[in-house]
Amino acid sequence: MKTVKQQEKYHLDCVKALKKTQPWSLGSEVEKLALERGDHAAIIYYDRVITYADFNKAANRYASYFASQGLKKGDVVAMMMAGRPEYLFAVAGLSKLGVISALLTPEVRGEVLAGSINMAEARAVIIGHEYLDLFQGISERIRMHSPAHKLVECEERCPELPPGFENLGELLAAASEENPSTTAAVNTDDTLVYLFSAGSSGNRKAIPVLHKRFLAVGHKAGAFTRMNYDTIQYMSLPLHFNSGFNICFGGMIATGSTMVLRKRFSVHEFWDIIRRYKINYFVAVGEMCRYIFNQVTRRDDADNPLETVICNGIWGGLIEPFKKRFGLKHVIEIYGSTEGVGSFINYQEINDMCGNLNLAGVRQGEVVRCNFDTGELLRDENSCLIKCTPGHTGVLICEINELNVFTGYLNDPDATEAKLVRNAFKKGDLYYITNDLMELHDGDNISFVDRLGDSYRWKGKSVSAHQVSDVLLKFFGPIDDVTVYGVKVPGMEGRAGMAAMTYIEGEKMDWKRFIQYVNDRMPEHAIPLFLRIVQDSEGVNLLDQLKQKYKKEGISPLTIKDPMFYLDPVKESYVPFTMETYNAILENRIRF
Amino acid sequence: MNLSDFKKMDEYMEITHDYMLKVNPFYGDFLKAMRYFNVLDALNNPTAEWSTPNNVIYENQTLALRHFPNKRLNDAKRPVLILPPQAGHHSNLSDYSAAQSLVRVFHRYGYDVYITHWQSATQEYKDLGMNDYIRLTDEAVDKIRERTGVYKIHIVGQCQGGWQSAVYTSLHQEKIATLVTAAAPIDVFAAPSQIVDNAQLPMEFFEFLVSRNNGLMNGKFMLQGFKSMQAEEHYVRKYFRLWDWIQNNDEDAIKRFSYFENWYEYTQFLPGRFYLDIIKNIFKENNLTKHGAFSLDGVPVDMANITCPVIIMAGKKDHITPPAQAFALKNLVSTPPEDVVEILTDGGHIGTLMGTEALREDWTAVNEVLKLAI
Repeated sequence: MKTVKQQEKYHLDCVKALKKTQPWSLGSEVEKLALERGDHAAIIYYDRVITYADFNKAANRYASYFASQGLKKGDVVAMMMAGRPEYLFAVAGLSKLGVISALLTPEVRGEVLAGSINMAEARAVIIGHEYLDLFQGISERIRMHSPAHKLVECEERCPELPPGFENLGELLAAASEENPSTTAAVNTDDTLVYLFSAGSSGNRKAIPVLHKRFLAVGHKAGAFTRMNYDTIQYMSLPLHFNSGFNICFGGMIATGSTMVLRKRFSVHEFWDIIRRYKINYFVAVGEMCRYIFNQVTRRDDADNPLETVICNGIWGGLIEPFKKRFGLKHVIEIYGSTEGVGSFINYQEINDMCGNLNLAGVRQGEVVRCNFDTGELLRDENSCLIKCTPGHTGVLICEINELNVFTGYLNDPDATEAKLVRNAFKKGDLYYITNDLMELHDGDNISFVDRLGDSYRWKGKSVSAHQVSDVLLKFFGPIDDVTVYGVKVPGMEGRAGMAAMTYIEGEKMDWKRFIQYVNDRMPEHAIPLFLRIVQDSEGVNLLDQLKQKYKKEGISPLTIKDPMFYLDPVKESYVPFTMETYNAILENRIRF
Repeated sequence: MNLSDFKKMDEYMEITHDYMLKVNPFYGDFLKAMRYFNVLDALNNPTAEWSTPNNVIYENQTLALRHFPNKRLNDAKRPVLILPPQAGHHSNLSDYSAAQSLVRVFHRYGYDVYITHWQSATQEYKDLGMNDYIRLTDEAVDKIRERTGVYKIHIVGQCQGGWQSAVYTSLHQEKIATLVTAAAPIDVFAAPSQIVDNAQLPMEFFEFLVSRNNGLMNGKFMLQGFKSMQAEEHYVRKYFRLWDWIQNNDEDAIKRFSYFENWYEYTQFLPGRFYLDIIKNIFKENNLTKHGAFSLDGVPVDMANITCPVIIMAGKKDHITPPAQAFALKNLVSTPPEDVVEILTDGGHIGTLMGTEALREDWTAVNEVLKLAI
């Protein structure tokens, strides 16, 4: 049995080894764990305990069935399912064939979701029964490659399936549980999954994630965030999230630890679950910690087994009180993107920091000067980018190298190129532009300031302003033009969506239909919280030009004279936003 | 009278109204009745306008090809040509109002849009037939191909424009990337409808209607025919509704009523031969369902020549073209079944073509499917 220190060293060695191509993959790791720790619990899902041996057998059934359907290395299967063990069996099983799983984001709706499926060019789709209606609603807009199987994961239920859909559970019943021979042909340079992201501009994009990155992130969790084979983690993030898939699942596979899996996060059940399963490790996004902290204080708050919380986007002022109240040993802030270049982990737990430009002696990136309005990176007289000095804010760029690979956006070379900067400091170097503003501190520590470009973060998720305005414009009716941007809301993390709109002369908004429309087409975090009705824009796209000005004006009715509306969380409809409402937000009487 | 006289008159009117309202409790209704007649009076001379800025880029005979440049977003690979209905109404149905325009929907999806504006026929064009309208459509398609450099374009036909675009595609498949038909009668015997029943009157009856206008078919006759299918609605109910709106001061509803009635009552002439060709080939003999049963300029018309992706729209409540009549196209074309998409809207006939809900929910779906076309 290795000590914690020995385990950390092992994981660090694995990370270093991943600089070169290795004959490792998710599939091979699962097979190894089944052999070495077959009886150890891999997943606990409500009352189901799934050991690594069970996990491997279940994954093999998926591999066997899809191989029998002619799927092979490089093919794609799209997946849309709530977080449950079958999701992970499917990804692991398909990975043994070298088949890529496109992890769809079911929170997006209609055209955007159909676009993601079409982008993946899948040969089959696995749909969780809970998303069957959603899928059927867009089925006519979907194109897949042959055999174009539509498979429903019924979760022990047997709903009557519409014509053209098959019950995957029945098809898997006869499949083999033996390890397939194909696993050996998959290595760290092969693609494991496609993740989808709003990116920093334009429409949603698919990002190929290599086995190398999945395993590297998992081993980094082992090396720097105190995850080890005794860890029991609570996992309630969506599995199609970078943090859910790469950090939580990647960490579990790299360390051979246990994951208590839930379909969704529930603040009310949080401590019951933590205590019941003796959970000592939890990965969260910023708002989750605030929700937990906002619960009524109890005398036994600190009486729990939780030791480590990994968080992306927690408000700095919350870390210490959170740690103290719940008796936690570690709250580690991390920073990352779905594109996944560079790793930033505040493992030294310096307050307010989200990481360091160095990780284990390896330089991850630089903070460089930029034009804050346009995002343009500034160069000196030698055409080199200008590095910020401590105390200054700039854009974080990450070096692309043999370990920090940027696979680009699937079939979108223009968007890929827009994220790259060449010859940054010397001829031939290549960096990935995060479009995130960071403040540089002494010792190369960095803290998150804001996001540049067309996207913003709200409720821990990236929102593409372009995509939101596209959906709003397609409401038609009175809307003539729209521009969307993120605004700071006092006391809240991230930026909330604000849509500035102009109306066609003489037209009025049907608010009832409008709210129904946005609810049908956008995930909750993307629905603009605020609307601002701007007078005639006097020309095409003028609103876009005014975006920076509007962004600076924020939400204060003292600055904004245009009629404003906000999405009342109680009435679930847009109502006029007044000085009184603004004061209620300032006084914490209205929370979003 | 000079200006001060008018002012004085206004003052007197105001005093009179105030006085009358005091002494006669029913005087308020009189004012509303005046308003009612004023609204209807304003509809006596309907006018036709386009909502989206456009230019006529080609004209020949009854065709004016209008280009609606997409100023916001123009990233779609292929242009779209819309063929509006030809049932006695103005072609601006496809661009009904600024807020309710099919052109606007296609623009939002990045398409450059063209419309065949079929102008009212004059005596000179009374002998144009189906073959001529297909020839004019071909001229429009060629003009678009020539100015955009795109070899195959998307064609969208609404109602009568629907069968027209299907016939055109069957004769010129090499020029069409995707065929979209909306509320278009194809197999008129696939489901009963009053319009088809009416069309079974002797041919002499229709020839008589045409002869009454010296070889032209008056749109007013066709409008009367449509109205007769829902007589109570068109001659009674809608006037009650107007009266209710006036009583309740529902200015938005009154505005919508006036706008629609202005469009609905605006009619134009069709060439008599064209009208009679339609009655015979489509509504009497159901020839679109029979491969090569009739020819245009010597070429047999056969829907089986259509091989491109096809999108068929129909309205659940459409009493003019019941869904079965429209969806029948899928059984006639050679397009593989997976490339035929059927969209059933919740609306009726006009609702499917230009209703707010259909534009938002169904025409957007058409656009999303079109995006899949290579």
